[in-house]
Parts: sequence; C-alpha cells; structure tokens
Amino acid sequence: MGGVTVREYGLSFVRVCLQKYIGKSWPFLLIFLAGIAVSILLSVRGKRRDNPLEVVTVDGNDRNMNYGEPDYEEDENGGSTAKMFLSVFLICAVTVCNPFLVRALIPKLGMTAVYYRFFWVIPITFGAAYYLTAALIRVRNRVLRILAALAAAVALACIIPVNPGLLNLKLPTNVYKVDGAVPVLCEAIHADFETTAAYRKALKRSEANIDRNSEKWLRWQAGQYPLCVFPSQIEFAVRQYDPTIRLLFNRNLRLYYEGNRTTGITYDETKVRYQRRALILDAMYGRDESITTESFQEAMEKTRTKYLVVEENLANGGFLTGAGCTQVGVTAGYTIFRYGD
Amino acid sequence: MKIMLLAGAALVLQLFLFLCTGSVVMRVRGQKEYSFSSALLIGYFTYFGIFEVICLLCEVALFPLRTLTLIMAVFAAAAILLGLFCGYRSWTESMNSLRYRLKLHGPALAFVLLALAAALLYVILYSDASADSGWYVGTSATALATDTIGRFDPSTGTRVLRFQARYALNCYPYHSSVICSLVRGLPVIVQVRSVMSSINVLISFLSVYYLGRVLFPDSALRGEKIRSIRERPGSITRRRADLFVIAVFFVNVFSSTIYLPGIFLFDRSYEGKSIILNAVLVTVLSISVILWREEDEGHYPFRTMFWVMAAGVCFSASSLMALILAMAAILPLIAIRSRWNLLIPLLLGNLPVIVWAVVYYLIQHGTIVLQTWR
Repeated sequence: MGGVTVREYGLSFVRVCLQKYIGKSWPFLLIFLAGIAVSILLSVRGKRRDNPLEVVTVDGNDRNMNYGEPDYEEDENGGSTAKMFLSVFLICAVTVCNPFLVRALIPKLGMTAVYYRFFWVIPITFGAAYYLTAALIRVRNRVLRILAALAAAVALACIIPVNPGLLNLKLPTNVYKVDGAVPVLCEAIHADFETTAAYRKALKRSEANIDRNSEKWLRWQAGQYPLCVFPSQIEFAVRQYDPTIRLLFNRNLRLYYEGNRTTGITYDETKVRYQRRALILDAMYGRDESITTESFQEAMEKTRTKYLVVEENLANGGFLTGAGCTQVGVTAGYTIFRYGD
Repeated sequence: MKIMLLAGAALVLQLFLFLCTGSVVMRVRGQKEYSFSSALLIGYFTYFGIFEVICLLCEVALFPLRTLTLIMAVFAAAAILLGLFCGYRSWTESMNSLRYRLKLHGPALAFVLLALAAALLYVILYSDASADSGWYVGTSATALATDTIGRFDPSTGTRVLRFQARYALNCYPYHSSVICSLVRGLPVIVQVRSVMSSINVLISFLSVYYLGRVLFPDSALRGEKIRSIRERPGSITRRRADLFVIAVFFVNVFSSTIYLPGIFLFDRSYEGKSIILNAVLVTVLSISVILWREEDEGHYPFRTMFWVMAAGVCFSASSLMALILAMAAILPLIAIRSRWNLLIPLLLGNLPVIVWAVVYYLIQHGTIVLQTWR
C-alpha cells in the first residue's frame, strides 16, 4: 500500500491498512461481522431450545446417549460456519493483524508494501456473500425473495462504488491487447539493429559453440538483443509483446524514477548506477539543461544503451543528435534514436 | 484470425488436459459422484501441483525450456489417454443426465451463466499494461524467446546470476511458455492475457460454486415427501449455490479498492496472486467448512488440500495466505472438538507450502545458493 509504512503509523498501521483495503466496501465487512454474530446467537438459542439433554422419550429414557453425529439439520442457522469464520477472524486478530506483532515483524520481513495480502485470509467477500444468500433464502415467498434481492442490490449499489477496474475498460485495438505503437516500434528497432555492427558481432559469436549453462553464454545471449529506453506509458508492454528487446530500466527503477513509491523499494540517488540511468531519461526529454554531451555519451556507453524511443512532440532531438544519436525514424507518434553506429 | 483460432485451440487443449487429469484423480480415489466441473477443478489443481515439481527440477538443473516442454508433452499425452480411459464412462453418464441436473438448478443458473459470460468477455477484452503485467507476461515470453527457465530478468532481459526465491520457486508463468511451445504460432501475450485469464476466471467461478455447495448442503427437506423436481436430492444445494455465486459476483463488482478480490478477478486474472485469492483460498475455505460440519469425507479433504497447496506454491508466493487460512480455520476445530487425529493430516495437507516456506527462507538467507550457470 503506497505511502503507508509502519515507521510512520506505528500501532495504527494495521487499522490504516484495513481502512485502505476495504475502502467504501465497508458494508460488506459489516454484513460479514453481523452475519457471524447473528448466526452464533441463533445457533446458541437453537441449541438451548433443542438441547438434547432436555429431550426425553415417551418411555422417559434420556435420548442423549443415542444422539450420534451432528447432521446438517442441526446447522440450519450456519452455526458451525459462523464458528469457523469467527475462528479465522480471532486468530488473525491476534496474529497477522495484531498491531504489536505487525509493528515488530512486518518491516523485518520486508512486507510493508504487501501487508494488505494478510487481509485476504479473512474471507470478507465470501462471508458477506454467504450471509446475503442465507438472508435471502430465509424469505420463503419467491416474489418477495426477488424483491428483497433487488432492494438489497440497489441499496448496496447506492452506497458502494463500482470496482474501479471495471470503469477503465478500453477496447483493445489488436489481438495482443497492447498499444498499437508497440508492434510497429519493435519491428522498426529490429530492422535497424540488424544493419549494425553490434548485431553482426552477435551473429559471429553465435557460430561459436558455447556451453549453454555457462555464464559466458548468458552474457552473449543477453547481448544479442538491442538495449532500449521507451516512454513509461508503453515500456511495460514492450517485453510482453517482444522479449527480444532489452530494457535499461527494470520495473521498480522506472516506477521510482517516475515518482511512484508504491513498490516500497527505494534507490540511492547518489549512486552512479542510478544517476546514469536518470541522466539518459532527463536528456531524452530535455528535463535538465545542465547535462553535457560528454556526460550523456558516458552514460550511454557505460550502460550500453542502443536505442531511445521518445514521443515525437517531447523529444529533445537537437541535443540527442548532437550527442551522437542518429534519428532512425518517426513512427506511430514516436521518434526512434540510435546511439552509435 | 489465425492467432484467435490458435488461442481457441489452446483453450480447449488446456481445459481438456485438466478434465482428463481430474478424471484420473477421481478414479484413483474411487470417488463415486462424478461431474465435469469437479473433475475440471481437481484436475486444474493437480496439474499445477505436478507442474510445479517438474518445472522446479528443470529450472534448478538448468534444463532448457524445450526439455520441460518435452516432459510436459509426455505427461499431457499420458494424462489425456488415461483420462479418456478413466473418464469416458463417467462423461457419457454425465452427458446423459445433463438435462436432469440442469433442471435441479432452477432459473438462477441462467444468471450464473450470464455472470460467467460477462466476466469472461471482460477479461478477454481488458488490456492491462501495468508494471505487474510486464513481469508476469514477460517471464513467460522471456523463457520462450531464450529457451531457458528463469535465467533472464523478465522486465529487462538481462541475465540473472542467482535465482531469486521470490520468483524462481513459483513456476506458474512457465506453463504458458510450455503451451506456446506446443501450440506453435500462439503468442505468449495472448496465451497469458486472454487464454489463461479465461481459464482462471472459469476455475474461480467453479471454486465459488463448490464453496456454495458446501456452505448450503442439501438437507432441509430430508425425510419429507418429494412433490416436485425442486425438492429432489441435490436441488436445494444447487439452487442455493447458484445464488451464492451470484452474490459473490455482485460483491466483486462492488469491490471499491484495488486490494479486494474483485479487482484481481476482473483485471489481473492472469496473475498467480489472483488464482490464490479467487480459487485457492476459496477451496481451502470449502475444505474447512467440510471439516467443521464433520461430514464423513475420510481423508479426501486433506488429499485435496495437498494438491491445492502444491498448486498454490506454483501460482504465487502468496500461497502463504492459504497456509495461514488453513491453520486459522482448522486448528481451532481440532482444539475445540479434541480431534487431535486431524493434526497430522492437516500438516501433510499443508506440506507443499511449509516446504516452500523453508526453502524460501534458506535461499533468502544464503544457506542455499542457486546459480543460473555452472
């Protein structure tokens, strides 16, 4: 959960995480908890009423000895299910949702960003659905049952917003379900890369018989594909579509550079490794005018970056071409630059 | 068009493989009540449990992907042949009684099928280019492109010198690589984001349906005179389970945050986390309910739990949540009802996740070092 840390929130970390986890779907948590309470209450009352100790046969013998295994009839009020839900709830409360335990352990386990997953253990969705269904089937009249279901659905729909994912549905333009520019750009990069000396060198190496399990083979295998930098909006789709394109930025590093801190992973911005990568992106978009041609060239050579893809209207083209890049082409609204020959 | 046909073929192939695997398992167990849906569900979990073991061994031994593909092709062929042998009679019987069983459901089934169709259509159309999808699809695509298993970083394509416990121990993404090796011409991105998503949604609905069957057992009219088909054995539980599926669908549609199961079901159904949340945890919950109800199922629940947990390890590191749920739901039962004889079956049922957790810890702390080269 982005921005929620044990260091900042201390003992209230669990509460804040739960609030963020459940959000405006809190009525479901309420239904779940109320369902458990009502079930247990009904179960206790039912047991008192049908207490086998009080059941005496006509001949006066206590039937208790012959009571045998409990069957479903006894569980008409969902008593055992409620007890199971309650067990899960209580055990989670004293273990994975215990603020003291969480404060001590979660940061050590490095699970601060993914702590919310422990809430999955509490079956709120299925418990709420169970009690909603159980309440509905108690209405014996079919027409009344349908009306009750509709009323409950409308009431809940008025309080709770729709799943945010469902509202963001964009129809795909191709069978790969990626931005239409991605296939075009990948093809253009490969077409150009195959004319370079680096590709010819890689081809020559492939003729040598290298052991597939050696470190050398791993290095060679990785080196035969062009190393690129893409705009953030399409970068994550590139290797899904074409894994023979290498990327300079890994997922977390790119998110960090773009200011996204939800991963919980931070990078030391004083490290040369980070600075070189950030410098390339800054130069691509002209974000930092103090960047010199020499520092850009050094960053490109040290990282062995070959291609830069920039939005046509945002490209810092003058600087890039002056610093040793060649404009390979403009396609699908993006400009492709190649560094070196 | 060709890709869509290949995707359809891959979908049918995988569903048939799971069905056959499930039919074999049910025959081995000697289960009398057969249904396509339960065979599919058991087969799905058993297949991924076996896949995890085979793939992990291939990964650590640095075998190329084509070796894994060959092993899995032999396994799939054997499973399908055995499945045909074991399941043919049951399939015929199930098809013959299909009309009767549909009648037992009642009109709510139409809404269940509608909800399922809507969910399937949504996951087929939904395009997710998030950072997470880059990793999941990238893992499958990289394995296929480099003919390796886990030796290259899926998000950048650079070599990985040591297997990382967090990713290397969960082999689910490589299943898609294997399928794309077998179904030549099917892009990995289509297999993962459309075909596998559809299968996972179907499995999720089936898991929820079975949880419904367990939560609402067929009992209320026991001993009474049967007047209509709605009062026949099996009708009440089916009709209530249908309502339960609709209720879960409704709750998922109105899941307002990105952390709730709903978002994982609809938007991230290709991810291992989603399967843990919407199928593994649901099945563990079903098993727990069966145990709390003291239904006489012998050791079936724990055997099922074993394969569900093994598949959970294959899907994601979040299988730890399934272990926590199993312990939180069943340990109190053992303590309250003094059913100490369940303790060992419970531990054995959870063994895959326990072993995974130990290996994970040892790798994280450097006791076990798994290099990607020799």
